[in-house]
Amino acid sequence: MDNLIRHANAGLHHDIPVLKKNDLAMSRIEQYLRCLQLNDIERFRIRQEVLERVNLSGETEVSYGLVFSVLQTVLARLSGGDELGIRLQPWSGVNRKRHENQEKLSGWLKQQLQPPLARQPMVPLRLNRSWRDACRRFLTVLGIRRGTPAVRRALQG
Amino acid sequence: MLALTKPPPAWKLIAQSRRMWFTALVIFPTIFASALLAQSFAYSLPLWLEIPILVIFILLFSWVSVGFWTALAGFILLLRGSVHISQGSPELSMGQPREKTRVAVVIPIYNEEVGRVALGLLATYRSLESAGALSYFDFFLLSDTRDPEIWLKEEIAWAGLCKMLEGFGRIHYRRRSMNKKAKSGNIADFCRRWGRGYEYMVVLDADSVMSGRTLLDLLKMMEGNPQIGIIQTQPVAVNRETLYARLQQFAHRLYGPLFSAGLRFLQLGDGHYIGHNAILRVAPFMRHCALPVLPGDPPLGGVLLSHDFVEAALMAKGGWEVWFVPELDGSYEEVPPTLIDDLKRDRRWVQGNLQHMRLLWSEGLRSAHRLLFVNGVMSFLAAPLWGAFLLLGAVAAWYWQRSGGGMNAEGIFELFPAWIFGLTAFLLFSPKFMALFWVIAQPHQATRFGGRIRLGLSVILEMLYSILMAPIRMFFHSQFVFQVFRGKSARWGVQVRSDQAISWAGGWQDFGWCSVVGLVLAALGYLFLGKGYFDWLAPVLLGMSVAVPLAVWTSRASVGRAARQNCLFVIPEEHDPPAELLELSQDIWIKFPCLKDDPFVQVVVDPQLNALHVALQRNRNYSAKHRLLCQKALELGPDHLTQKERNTLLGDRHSMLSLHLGVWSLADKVKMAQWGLEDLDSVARSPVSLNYESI
Repeated sequence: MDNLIRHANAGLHHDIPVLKKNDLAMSRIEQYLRCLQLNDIERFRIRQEVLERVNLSGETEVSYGLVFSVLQTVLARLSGGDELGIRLQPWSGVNRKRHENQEKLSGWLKQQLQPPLARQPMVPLRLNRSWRDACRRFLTVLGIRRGTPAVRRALQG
Repeated sequence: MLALTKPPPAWKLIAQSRRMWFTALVIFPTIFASALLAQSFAYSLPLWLEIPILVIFILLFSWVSVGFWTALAGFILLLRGSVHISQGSPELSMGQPREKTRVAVVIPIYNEEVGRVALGLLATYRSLESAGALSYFDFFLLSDTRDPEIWLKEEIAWAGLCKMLEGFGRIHYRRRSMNKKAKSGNIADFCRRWGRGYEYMVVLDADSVMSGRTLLDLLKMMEGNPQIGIIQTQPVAVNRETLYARLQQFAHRLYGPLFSAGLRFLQLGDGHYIGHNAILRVAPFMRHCALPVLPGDPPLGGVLLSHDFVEAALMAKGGWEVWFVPELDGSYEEVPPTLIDDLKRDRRWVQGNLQHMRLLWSEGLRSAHRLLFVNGVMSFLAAPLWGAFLLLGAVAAWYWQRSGGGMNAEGIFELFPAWIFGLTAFLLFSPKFMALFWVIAQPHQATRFGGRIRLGLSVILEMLYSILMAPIRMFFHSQFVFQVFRGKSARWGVQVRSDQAISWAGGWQDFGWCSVVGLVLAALGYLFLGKGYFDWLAPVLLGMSVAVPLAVWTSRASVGRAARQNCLFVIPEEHDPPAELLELSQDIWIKFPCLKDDPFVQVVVDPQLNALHVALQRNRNYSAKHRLLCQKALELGPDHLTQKERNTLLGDRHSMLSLHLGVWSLADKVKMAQWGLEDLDSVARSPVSLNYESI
């Protein structure tokens, strides 16, 4: 994708006039960046990188889509390949350990959401609800009926 | 070889003896009173009228007696200060928790007010932290929410809480995409997934709060008593402001301890479980308490609606003890704010308790739990029985009048002896005076209820209110019972947890028929039954007639607050609020990101909210269905998506990423406006600023 965009924008002069030419797309990117917790250097770098790669004059969904694809690539590069990571910065906790910082923030957050599964079955046991059996049990308790039914012995041979 | 059987624990013998005495105390006075009534009826009523009246009288009198004797036992125990000294009581052997002991605090939620749930969790969490016991506990928000807006709020609340409390890895969130078997299914789902990792679990309701010290005490009791499966606390009703809820809170707080102490006295290790504010041993819960599905269709078949009593019964059937520990404070809940909300909850409880009739004969259940099932059934069956008793009484009075009996006050007392009224009133109201006496007898306790005079006044007003409210409940509960027997099932509704007043129009809609029936019956009764029986029925008819104004006025928080300002219906938790409840009143919610208007739109558009939601979703197959839904959303706008379609999109990580990119790439102004991006135009016209603000 990067190469494709570079190829499409080859030969452009990336200076102030380019900014002027791309003002609609850039203003939308500015709006987007305002929603992120970035410092001035990061914002500047993102703008610069996007401008280096994109030159748009039309106002179409395809062109905006292209701009945002580039923006996402740049954002991903800023947070170690995890585009979501930079968008998730406000949600990350201060107690995130050092080794955890090396993994993707989105993955880390997912792990915090739910602990690892430790599956175990939970199935209902058989419950004899028969009132006839209940009557039999009651009679057994009263001593009117024998608890175990008589079993006829079978003789072999 | 001789089989060595373990002797039964000492408490079982004690409980047997207590229950025997208790049964005698209920049965013999009932027989005596019924015999006297039968004697009175013998020469005045025909057999076809006498027998049904007597049968209903026996059922109702024994039912009222059960309450009276339970309260009396509790009253004596509380005066002696000896609720928890029976052999085998968990309070007597508390063990220090082992280092590796893990407890899961599970909070099943279903379309709840997210702010209140988060505050409750926060209060409990901080209290555990202060008690130095947090290391044993993990929290699980178990959501069955179907409303996508509430779902998104829950996710943000989870992330916000984790960040605020530094609780990542300790506070967890899970939403079921299929809410099978409602709340009990949600808990079972937790057990299947993570139960093996936890020795105990504490179940909290969405409106529950528990103090860290109480949770630690529960844990110590479990550690010191390995034979116990469930320990139930008695949650105190707090925090409501409507007059209706304040009256409930006051009654629970003042009279509740008597009944609780009495119940504990009778139950001992065969206690009950109310589904929340309790600690459970996970392994036996998973082994024994998976709930059966009753054959047949709802309302009397299918999934058990009131699962808690059944779980306690199954736990005891499996050989584990279930204890009720009413003296443990620091356990709180909230009551429904208005009469209609309370009745909606009762509708589900009626169905759930009537389902228990089908479990009464189940093999292996302990008799104490069978009696709890009967108790639950009678809680609601008493309403139609009372209604039938009044109607048959009216027929009897009419018959008595036609056969020459006098229908003035003296005449009616020939038919229904005066002692019936006196004795019933004594059985019903004496527990309230016992509770009043108990509070006044304790030093400084009356002050916590607003002072002796205000407390006495509150009791009298609460009694008048309960007299008026009883016939309204009777009418509605009777209706609910008939609905269940006619096969009409209750839906799994959302509980209202905030103070919302009933309008006059709403009051007429819900209670108008009750008032009309009350007025019509009053007119008919006065015309045909004579003054004697009419006077007897007057409180019942008055209660029904004033149902609309009573429901409307008691639903108002302003009236409740006025009562509070006048020190009426005050409870100790208001006079001297515990730290956990103070925490609830703090407005920390404003620190969380605010989801305005349409949360779905915000989660699609806002890069941070979108990232959070996407990060928490599973990777599913991005199917043609998802692709079509994304196209529909982008073409027609979010308003054209149904709730189900929104849920489908929200549940798919790839769809939400695609939508995010798609919305930010829109060129059509109208479509952009549908997603709240209309102001980009103005941004585009203004020069791009290099001064960036951080959010």
